[in-house]
Amino acid sequence: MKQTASVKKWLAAAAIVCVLAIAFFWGGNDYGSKSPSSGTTASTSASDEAPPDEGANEPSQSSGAKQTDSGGEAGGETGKQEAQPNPPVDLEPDGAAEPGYTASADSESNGNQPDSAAPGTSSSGAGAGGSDRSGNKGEAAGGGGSSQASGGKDGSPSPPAAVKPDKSGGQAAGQGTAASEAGGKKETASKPKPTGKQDEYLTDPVPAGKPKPVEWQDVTVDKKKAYTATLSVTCKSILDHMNQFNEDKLEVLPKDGVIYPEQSVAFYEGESVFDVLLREMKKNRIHMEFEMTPIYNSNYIEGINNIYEFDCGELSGWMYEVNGWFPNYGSSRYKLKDGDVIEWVYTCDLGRDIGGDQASAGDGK
Amino acid sequence: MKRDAFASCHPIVNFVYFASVLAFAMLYMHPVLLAVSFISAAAYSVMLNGRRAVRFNLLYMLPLLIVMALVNPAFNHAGVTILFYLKSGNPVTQESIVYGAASAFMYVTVIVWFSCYNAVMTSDKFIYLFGRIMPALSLILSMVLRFVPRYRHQIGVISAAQRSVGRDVSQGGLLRRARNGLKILSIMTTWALENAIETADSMKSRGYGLKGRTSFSLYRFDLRDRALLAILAVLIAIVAAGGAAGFSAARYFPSIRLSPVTAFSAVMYAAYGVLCLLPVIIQAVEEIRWKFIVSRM
Repeated sequence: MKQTASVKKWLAAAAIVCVLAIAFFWGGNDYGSKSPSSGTTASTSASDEAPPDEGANEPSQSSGAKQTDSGGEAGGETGKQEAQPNPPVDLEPDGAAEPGYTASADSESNGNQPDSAAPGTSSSGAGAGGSDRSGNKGEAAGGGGSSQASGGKDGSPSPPAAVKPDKSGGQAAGQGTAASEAGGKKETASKPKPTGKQDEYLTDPVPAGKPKPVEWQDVTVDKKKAYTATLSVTCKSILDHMNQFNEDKLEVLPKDGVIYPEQSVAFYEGESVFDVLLREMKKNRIHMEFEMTPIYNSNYIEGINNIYEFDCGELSGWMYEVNGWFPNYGSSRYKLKDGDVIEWVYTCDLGRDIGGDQASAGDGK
Repeated sequence: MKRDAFASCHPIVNFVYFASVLAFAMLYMHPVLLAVSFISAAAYSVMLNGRRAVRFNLLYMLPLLIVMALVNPAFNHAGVTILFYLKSGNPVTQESIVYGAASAFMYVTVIVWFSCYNAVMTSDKFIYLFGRIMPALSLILSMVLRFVPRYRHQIGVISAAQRSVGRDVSQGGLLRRARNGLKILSIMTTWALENAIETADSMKSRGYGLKGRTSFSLYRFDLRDRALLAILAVLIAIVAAGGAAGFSAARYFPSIRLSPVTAFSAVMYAAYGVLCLLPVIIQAVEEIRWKFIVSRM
């Protein structure tokens, strides 16, 4: 009797392991299939996940990377201890390593190599073996920061400043920096200010020269003052990611990826980007669904023309761009000015494929 | 419950029938299959429970169906056919209304199937089937499945006893009633806890789950059961094959696309209809046979 009971227990354990194995291979498949499809994404994700890979491309850095690696292995217990605060450190470059950013923004696109190589050794010298990944990243973003090792260490005790409340914020923040580190894209020279002080709707400070969010509750629309703006709605990125696209939605996908061609539209004083989009979509009988998100005090666009978020991979959704800038706050809070150029763009990769990675690093809504 | 011919079959036949019917009802969203399943479930429940089932279906299931069908388009705005716009600015689409209706039908159908299941698969049948393989789980399941009716009955008993001493929820002022209600609830909870322990103890003292024990009810797997099980297997195979071939495919978003009715899919629909209506057919055949015998006497 006891024999059979123990056999049963083992059988049950084996069954659970089987189920877990099936779930492992069956589910969560999107990341693997994505990297070969787009060049820039592949390179950024590779550099993000495996620093040694990056090292192979740049011989001078490889020694640094290997050093840190071996340091991690040799470090043993200290390495483990270091590894625990890793996630906060991952987010760190966005917040704490900022001061030098604007200064080094230009050098970063091509001068990445020497910058990151030098601190790479310094970090291994400091004995932060376990956190080789975050170390590399922190340096790349920090650029010419003099006391890099101490910067990385300072970062770990103060996670609240860096941790984003957004559900995808953590991942996005880390990868977003990785993208700019690789120097693949360089659309905006300035990034949000480093202070990490968010407003009441969890929005990071807006970069200098960009319009600040205006709460729609405080605005009164003045119908007497009419202006014009330019609006377009496109989903061209899907055409490059057809292998991920929801097959059921093929019939609503325009062949050229243009849902609403660029044209000038009228709006009234005080209206937001969202108001204009809603009116134009209604006027043209283009389907659109949105939802109010009180925590960000903005409407979130779930789908336009029946192309919804997550229809093209789990990192896909709608983003908006005004005058070439992806605001880091919601469209209901963006008060329009005369002559603004609004573009609604569908991303398949959290904005990285359309050049809006910084906005999605914070609040992409 | 009247005597039901299907309920007198071997438990394995009953169980296979309900398992397959419930699984298909939850899996298939094709309108034809939904309609077949809904009608069969309603017919069988009325056949089993008579007027009570009619009242239950009309009083609870119909409003539930309507509410569910109406709620979906209020929250789900996907679909290519825009009918009109809500005040908030979100569209109401034909697809979301149809999908709401379909899912409401599915939901109600599954509930009605479960009401039939409860009437046919009594706990002694369930324990007969699974008591040997997984004693603890089958006892818990059979206890849980009759949780609600049992507690409702016990509340009636307690309430009647309290009424006889003038302390029912229907007696006294508002405060008094509330206090009486709480008292009844307290008695009920105490009884439930005690009863659970008592059940466990009495099952243990009778050697439940030990080797060589037989069940309370004994069933013989006779020729009729064998034939029924074979028929069931064939029907399930046809329906499952049809489902695998895509005859049950129904897509509601962004536009409605249903698998068309062809000769092949009609075979699947027919098999599904026979499968769902099997108990009703058996009952009808038995009644006709009985009438025939009576008329010859």
